[in-house]
Amino acid sequence: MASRGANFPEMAWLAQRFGLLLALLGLATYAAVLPALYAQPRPPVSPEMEVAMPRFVQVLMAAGDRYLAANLAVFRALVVSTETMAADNYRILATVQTDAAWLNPAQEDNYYLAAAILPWAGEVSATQYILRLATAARPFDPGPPFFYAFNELHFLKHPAEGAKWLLLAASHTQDTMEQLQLQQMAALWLGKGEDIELSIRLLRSMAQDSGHKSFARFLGKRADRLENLLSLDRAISRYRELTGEAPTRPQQLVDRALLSAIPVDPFGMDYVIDGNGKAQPAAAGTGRVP
Amino acid sequence: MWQFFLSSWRSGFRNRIFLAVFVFALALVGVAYLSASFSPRQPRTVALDIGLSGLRISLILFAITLIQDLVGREIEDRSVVLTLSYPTSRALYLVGRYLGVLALTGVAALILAMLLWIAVLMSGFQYEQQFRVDLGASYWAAVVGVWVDVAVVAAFTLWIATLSTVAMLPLALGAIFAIAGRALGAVFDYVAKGADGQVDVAARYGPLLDLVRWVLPDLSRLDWRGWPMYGLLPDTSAIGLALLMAVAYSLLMIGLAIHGFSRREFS
Repeated sequence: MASRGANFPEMAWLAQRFGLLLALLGLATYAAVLPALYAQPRPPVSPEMEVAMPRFVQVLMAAGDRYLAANLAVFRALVVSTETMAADNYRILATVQTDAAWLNPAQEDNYYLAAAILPWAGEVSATQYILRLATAARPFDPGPPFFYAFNELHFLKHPAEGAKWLLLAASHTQDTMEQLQLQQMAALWLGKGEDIELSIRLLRSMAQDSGHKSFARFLGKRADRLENLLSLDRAISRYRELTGEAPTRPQQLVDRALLSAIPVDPFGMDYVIDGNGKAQPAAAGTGRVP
Repeated sequence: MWQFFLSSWRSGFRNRIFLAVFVFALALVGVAYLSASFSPRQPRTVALDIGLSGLRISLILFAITLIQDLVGREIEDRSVVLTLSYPTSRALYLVGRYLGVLALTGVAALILAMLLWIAVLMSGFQYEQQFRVDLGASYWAAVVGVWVDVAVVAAFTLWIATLSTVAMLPLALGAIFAIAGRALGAVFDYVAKGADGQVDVAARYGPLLDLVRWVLPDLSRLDWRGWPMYGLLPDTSAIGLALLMAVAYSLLMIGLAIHGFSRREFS
């Protein structure tokens, strides 16, 4: 009896603090387990889940509403901080934005954000996908084809392809001034093209389509110049075949009877042969490539 | 029939569910207004977009809770037996109830659409976006599209309510039906276009979807918001066919509901 009486206050003390002790026990175990749990590798998501299913899941989570799903994806892309992102995160961002483009290709923020961020982080093909869809979905907006054209020129180094998209952008605007500017830019880019014959064809068709007379003349002159450069280049390669060495001056081509005369540049420049053995226009007398 | 229409109408307004869903819908209009600040280029378009999504969600909730309340609960607590003891046909009872629900949802759609209209106008005051949204006839056409969509779901829910012996079944199935019907278009689109090169996915789900589209109406065809948002008028024949599909499917559902309800015995 005496011993029980002595134990009683301790029991009461325990009973009073039972809840607290239980909570402490839980907290200690939780704290001990958590790092170990996080150290466990997470099971990888199957490729099908990663690529195909999320779009369904996104639509279902938006109560079957693909517009809402698109907006949610764009919000996600918008609030993400791109300053500290690694390449992997950019790939995920590209996926999120590609999905948004598929869900609602006409979403303006989506293509704008994509064009502003993704290609600079190496996600050029995702950007072009988004811009292609936006171009088709927004026939009134020259923005998407313009950005597409820029990416072709700047990132993919396809100026001729870029010029095609610039022309498409021109057809997407009602503003004749803007149309003219875009067509002019396309003509400039075509001059840089590797595929000279395609560029000549495009320039000629642009000249034909243009209602603006002086601009059509300008385009015609551009095409003439490219034709001159093309014939010079052909003569240069024949010269190489015949002599085994590269010509340094266009006059050498005439001397060998590969050309009847040096073609006259429609913009009044001279033609020179650059270090790579390619014909180039140069300001008359200076030999400088403009 | 008229008396059932009227009683639906009155009890709809007395109903607490009406109020609850309405408050929820108001909150969604508020969300639409706030969502405009998430858009750097097109705040009004995004507000309108989110608002129409909110309208679609809240009107569905509205319609299925009304059906559940006006038909499902009456059957469940047997008060329908009292109603049917009057000299009237069961078919007229159901049609009256259904039309009452449509009228109530119509009124709710009108009020919410007007509030959304104001919310869209108020959003993006400081920013003049390059491509404006159209809040005229095209906007109201989009709202009518939502209402027709809801009418189809309401007809389906009515059918389930006449069959069901479990209280919450019409509510749950109605919601699932709405989500599935609305998602069907996107899913079908994805699989029909080769699932982005996922040949096995296209091969596996393609035949299943070909079957599903005969059972489930493609409600995404009634979503015409591209018109007010981007000025892209959907094909008139596509609109006409979508409306026809909606009417036909609703008739089918109401027919099935009447058939099932007429044979049901209340002991």
